[in-house]
Amino acid sequence: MKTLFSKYTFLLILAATAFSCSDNEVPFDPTVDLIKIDEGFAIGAATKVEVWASQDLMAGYNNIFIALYDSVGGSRITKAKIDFYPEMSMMGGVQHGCPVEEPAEEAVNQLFPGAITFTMPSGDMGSWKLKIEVQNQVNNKKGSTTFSISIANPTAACVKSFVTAANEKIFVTYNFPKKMKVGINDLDVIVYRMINMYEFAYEENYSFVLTPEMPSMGHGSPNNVNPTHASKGHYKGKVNFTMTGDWRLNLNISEGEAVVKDLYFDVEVE
Amino acid sequence: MRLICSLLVFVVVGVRAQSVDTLRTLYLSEVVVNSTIQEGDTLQNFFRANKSATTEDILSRLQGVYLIRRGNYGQEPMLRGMTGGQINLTIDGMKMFGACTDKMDPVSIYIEPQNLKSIQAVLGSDGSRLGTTVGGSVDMQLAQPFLSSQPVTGRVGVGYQSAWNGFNTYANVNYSQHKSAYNLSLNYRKADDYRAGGGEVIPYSQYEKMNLSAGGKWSMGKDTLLASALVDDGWNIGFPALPMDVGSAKARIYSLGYNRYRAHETVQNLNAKIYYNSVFHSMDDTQRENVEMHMDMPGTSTTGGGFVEGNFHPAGKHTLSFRTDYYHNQVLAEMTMYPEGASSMYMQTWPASGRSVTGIYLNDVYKINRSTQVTVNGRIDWAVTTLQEGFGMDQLQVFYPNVQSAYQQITSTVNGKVKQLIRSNWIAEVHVGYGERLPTLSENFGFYLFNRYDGFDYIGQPDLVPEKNWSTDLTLSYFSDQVQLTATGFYNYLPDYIFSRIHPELSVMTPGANGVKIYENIPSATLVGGEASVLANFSKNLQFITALKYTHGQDFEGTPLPLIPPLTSNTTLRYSIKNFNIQLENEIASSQQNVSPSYGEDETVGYSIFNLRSGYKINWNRKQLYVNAGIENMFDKNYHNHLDWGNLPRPGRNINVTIEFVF
Repeated sequence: MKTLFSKYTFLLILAATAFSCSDNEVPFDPTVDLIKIDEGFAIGAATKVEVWASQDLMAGYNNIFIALYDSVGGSRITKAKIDFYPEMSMMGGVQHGCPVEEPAEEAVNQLFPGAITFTMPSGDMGSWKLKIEVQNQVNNKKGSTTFSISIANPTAACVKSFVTAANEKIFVTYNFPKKMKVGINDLDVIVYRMINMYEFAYEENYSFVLTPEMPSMGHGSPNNVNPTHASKGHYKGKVNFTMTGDWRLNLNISEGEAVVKDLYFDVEVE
Repeated sequence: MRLICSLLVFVVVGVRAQSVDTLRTLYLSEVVVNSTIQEGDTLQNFFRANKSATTEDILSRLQGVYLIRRGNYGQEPMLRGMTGGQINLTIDGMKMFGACTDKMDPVSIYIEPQNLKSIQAVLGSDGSRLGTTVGGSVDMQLAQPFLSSQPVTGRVGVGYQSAWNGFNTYANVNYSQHKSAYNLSLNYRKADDYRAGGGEVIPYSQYEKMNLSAGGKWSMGKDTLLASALVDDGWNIGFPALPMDVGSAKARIYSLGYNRYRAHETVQNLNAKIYYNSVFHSMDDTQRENVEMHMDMPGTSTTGGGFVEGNFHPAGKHTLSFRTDYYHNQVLAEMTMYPEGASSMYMQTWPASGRSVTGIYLNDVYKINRSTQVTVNGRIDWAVTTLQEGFGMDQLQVFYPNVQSAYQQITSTVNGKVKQLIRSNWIAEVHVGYGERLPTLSENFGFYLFNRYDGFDYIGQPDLVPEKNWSTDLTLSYFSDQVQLTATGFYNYLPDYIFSRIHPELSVMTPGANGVKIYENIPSATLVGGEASVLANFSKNLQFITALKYTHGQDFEGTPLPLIPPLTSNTTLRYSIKNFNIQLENEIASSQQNVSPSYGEDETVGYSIFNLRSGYKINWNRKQLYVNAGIENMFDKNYHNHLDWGNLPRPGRNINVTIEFVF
């Protein structure tokens, strides 16, 4: 009995050791913590296209990650030029695009990170399609695939628009590079200027005053850093949350001496 | 407040028995507090007989000791204007820290007089045996089981207080065998809202609590083992001076002790103990009306540690005693607010944080000759304060981006005392000392702690340096058979005094708060004052005791410090004959005009109140029945002391009766 017991114990330990060894050899999964939105084949480029995102796509700034595979061999492709062509078809027949940030041609952690700012949700108003064009740098072939995507309407608006005195339409959105938490948070505010229904430019000349507050309590937080322009319409700042709950990020936008707009985003800190 | 008559006799006898070489003894109106460990039957008897009093009532009578009141419960001890982290408040030498961010639970509330053997109060840096300190120490020594020829002894009692319709019921039993003894005590108190002088009922001043303690003692020749457990549960405790009450306050105290006494060994009296205690405290606003936003505020504080102490065999004219100890305290206080129609809000008002302190204390008594004695003592503490990474640390980074997860500090205390007999009846004693104290975890890491007194939210400061105190005391005493006079003057200069400053640029968290303050070291503060007492035996049956205490405090700019007690006097005239005694007491507090308006203080007028107490003892078959009756605040005066929060009036006329049976 005793021998049997020690034998099994030994086997158990062996198994555990083997398991822990193999554990260490699990290949790095770049899509951990991401969700897959859709996949398809870019006909002509012999490439399988997977669309991943950090959360369900919604009206606002979405971090998008593209995974490419050779559609024959299945191996990953890490060099490609990718273009996003989102398009909203509205019920009344109007069609328009939205601002995008195309990925670099070199993959990061085997994925191509980019971003799309959907300016409205899909639903009764209309539907979104996303065409992705791939220039495969391995076989030097080009092709595209189109996805029908569903864009959720978040509880609090994540993208806001207004028209300037110069009659230009501006979209303002935000992105937390890391999950919001109590404490110090990096905050990106991203601003686009609409050129036409499908073209958007980075707005780089704004300045911001950031004032977070808790509307239910009427208090703010100290030592926030106003977002300032870093590159490509991204303004980087820091926002401090002193407790969990509903916060409002008040942004006073100006250009030079001129006040442009006051707006806010409501966020929930968990 | 409540004097116990039957025991005054013992005190007076104790006073007379003082010999010249007894260490500095402070005379309280009716209690003797000694700076050395003394198995004082006098004290023991006094406290046991103090039938209706709470531990705080006893504390408030001690010389140099004051109480900060926030209601009828949970009063905070203060020594000569110093409180909180400035003093050591210990239980049987064990460190214990309250779990309430609003200081509703100084650990003295978890001890009932039934649990107490004595209270040892040492004022100023001289009180560093239990930790480096600037303000002194109060050690509440717990009653132990005792070996007795009678196997079963004990007492049961019940008391009633009219001003708050309060009942106090208690029982304790000691069971003794040849070499072991066990005790068990139970105490239950319930109080309704109290009635202030003139008839106004103070809402939210009720409380209810239960205290259970058990102990065992096993004697093996010169070695003794001790084990004790104490459970104290309070609930529905109202704090009329605060915006919230206490839903539940639970304390658990466990210890294992070892004692060895051998007169001829190098270490004569060795005492060692390991202990663990925990406090869970939960604030509650569900009973209050017009609450803007409901909130939950639970807090926990756990402390574990141990110590070894003893004294060496006297070498020549020197007697050296030592103590070395370690403790770790860990706290967490949380706040969750529930706004209507929005997400709940959570923060840690005390981020998860802890502190470990290791210290060593040495005390040498050098008897130069029959009339001169020099005492030198010192202590050094090594403290490691830790802030747990995660939520609480992230929070504090908003104010202190470089906040560390660990801080080390070394604090020390040094004291010198000379005691000189002048002629045969006079004793002069001079004390010069230097002490340091650590900032409390609240002062280091507190996060939007709302202080109802000044209406400010307080934020900690992780980089505070220890507060220091350069102090000197001079005491003169005169003894004769009929009279004893004592007068003490003290002066404390406190560099790096820990205070707070308003930061107008910060927005308040608590709705309606006046602003935000952050703790900081100010250049210095000064506390000066004194105590005086007169004890007189007019005849065998008639005794008179009066005691005065005074403190003045100001910061480096001459601005008065907040919460400084006014001049206070307590006077007792007592007549006793056979089994009966009666005494008249008077308590006077002057007005306080040295106030700190920035702390929300206003001037307080003085008052004078009278109490009458009496006691009767019936002997019956070698057992005793004690009946005590009294009237506190006889003339139903509406008054409050400067240390009472929110200018809340104290209880009005209170008729109390206690019946106790001793077997």
